[in-house]
Amino acid sequence: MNILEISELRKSFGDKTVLDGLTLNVPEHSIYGFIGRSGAGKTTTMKIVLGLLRSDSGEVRVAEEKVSFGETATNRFIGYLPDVPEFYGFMTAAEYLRFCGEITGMQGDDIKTRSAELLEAVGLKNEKHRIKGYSRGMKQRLGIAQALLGRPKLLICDEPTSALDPVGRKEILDILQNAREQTTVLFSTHILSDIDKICTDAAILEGGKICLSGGISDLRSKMSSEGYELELSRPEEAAIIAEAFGCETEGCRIVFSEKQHSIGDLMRSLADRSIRPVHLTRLERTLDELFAEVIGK
Amino acid sequence: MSTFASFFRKELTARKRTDKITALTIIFLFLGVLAPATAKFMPKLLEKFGDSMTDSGMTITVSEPTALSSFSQFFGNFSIGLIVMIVMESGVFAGEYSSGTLIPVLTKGLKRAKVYFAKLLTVILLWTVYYWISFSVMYGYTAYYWDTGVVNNGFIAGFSAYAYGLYLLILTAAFSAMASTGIQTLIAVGAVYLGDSLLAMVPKLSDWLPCRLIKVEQIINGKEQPDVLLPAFGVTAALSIAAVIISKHIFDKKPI
Repeated sequence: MNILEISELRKSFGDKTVLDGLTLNVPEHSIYGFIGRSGAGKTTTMKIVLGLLRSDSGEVRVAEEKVSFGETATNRFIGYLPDVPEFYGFMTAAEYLRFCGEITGMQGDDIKTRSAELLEAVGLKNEKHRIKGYSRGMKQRLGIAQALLGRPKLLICDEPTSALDPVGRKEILDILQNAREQTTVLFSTHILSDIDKICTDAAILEGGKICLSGGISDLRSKMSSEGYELELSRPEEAAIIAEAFGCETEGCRIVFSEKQHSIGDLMRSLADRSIRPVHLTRLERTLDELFAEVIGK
Repeated sequence: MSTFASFFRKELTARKRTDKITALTIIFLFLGVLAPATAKFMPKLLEKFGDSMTDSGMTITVSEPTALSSFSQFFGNFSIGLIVMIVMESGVFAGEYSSGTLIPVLTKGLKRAKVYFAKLLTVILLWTVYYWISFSVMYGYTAYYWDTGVVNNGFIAGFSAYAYGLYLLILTAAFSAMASTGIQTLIAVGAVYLGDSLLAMVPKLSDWLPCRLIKVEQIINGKEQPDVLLPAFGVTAALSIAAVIISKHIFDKKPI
């Protein structure tokens, strides 16, 4: 089952069209990366899914139930972590989770056990101070805890790692990866290495539409090997090889396309001339390049 | 605990932990004591002042203070507490809009109506409790020093001033729900107050305006009967209800 189905979503703010026929399906228990530039419409899409913003046209279904603006019935399936999560600074983490449990009608005992579990999972178990003293990373972690409190079917995170240092980022990604067992994760980002690390599926939003989507392995197969990079220890050696193969050098580096020269011929040529390479690397298009190419279309 | 009760309790805890409760307690107790204290000591101060003026030929005669002086001072001063509370509560909604703290709450499914009425109820409760604490303190000290029998319709006058404050605070909450910032709220409340005061200069309108409710001097000294306030009560109540209905409707539709 697809936990989230969006079809032909359109939204404009005044004369600015942000979403122009967005269609997206998120399979259950996936970790779905939602990629797009700043201002592409990722947050707008999420707010429509949450019933916080009214779309101009199109349909959104969560767990096969239709989403309507202002009605939050479908939100019982969703846990949401906003991009800059703000919680009541006068409360402690435990108090805030209890408050969240109460306003969602959870039972007292369930709130206690679930809060303890989640605070442990996000590393805030021993934190007794009030939220107003929290760092950004701590707020993100509390944000995930409150989003998962009600055991949602879909966890939506808006740029959960954007303003974090590498350690903080890794912590959040680990938590999200572990959450996959209990729920489906949809998170937006413009940090492509995050997608690479934990996502099972991804989609790229550009020009108000999804221009590329699918399983991560499918997307990776689009990043087929283009060529090789050879680095030699001296420019003279590079010049010799370059002349033999009709290529250009960049100092000690030469880039070969596999279409033009077979790797076997290259290695034979190096061996014949007794030239020892510094390294010979197969170039793979990175997700960044794929993204840039898709955006450039 | 019901979802409404939980959110309502959050509102009260927020004010306690941000020291608003402490500040209000100090201010309103002070205002309650200030009225009888001023009434009691003002004549002595004026006498001393008068002594130093005799050289220039001015004499000041001050009549003996009575319970009326104390009540009169109270009705003059209570607006200080009202203004403090209006400023404090101008962000009751708008503060959460700018901080974004309502987003997790609404996305979890708490109904907007519950959020709206919990906040409105908190503002009403705070004003009710603190106004009557202040009034009771004033009344207690007044009764201790003077005979309160000379005051006509003291509680009605007290209720009238309470109602005026309640109306302005309901407006504050209503504007806060519709505005984006506390400053916008204060400007709106200020504009309404100004409009009220300006219209009050028109003799035919003056008895129908909310600000009539705080002009109770002639009622407590017996020169006017309380029923002169009825038109103003009616209009004030109607304006308050209208403010609630309109602002709730706007809050329900507001993109958060």
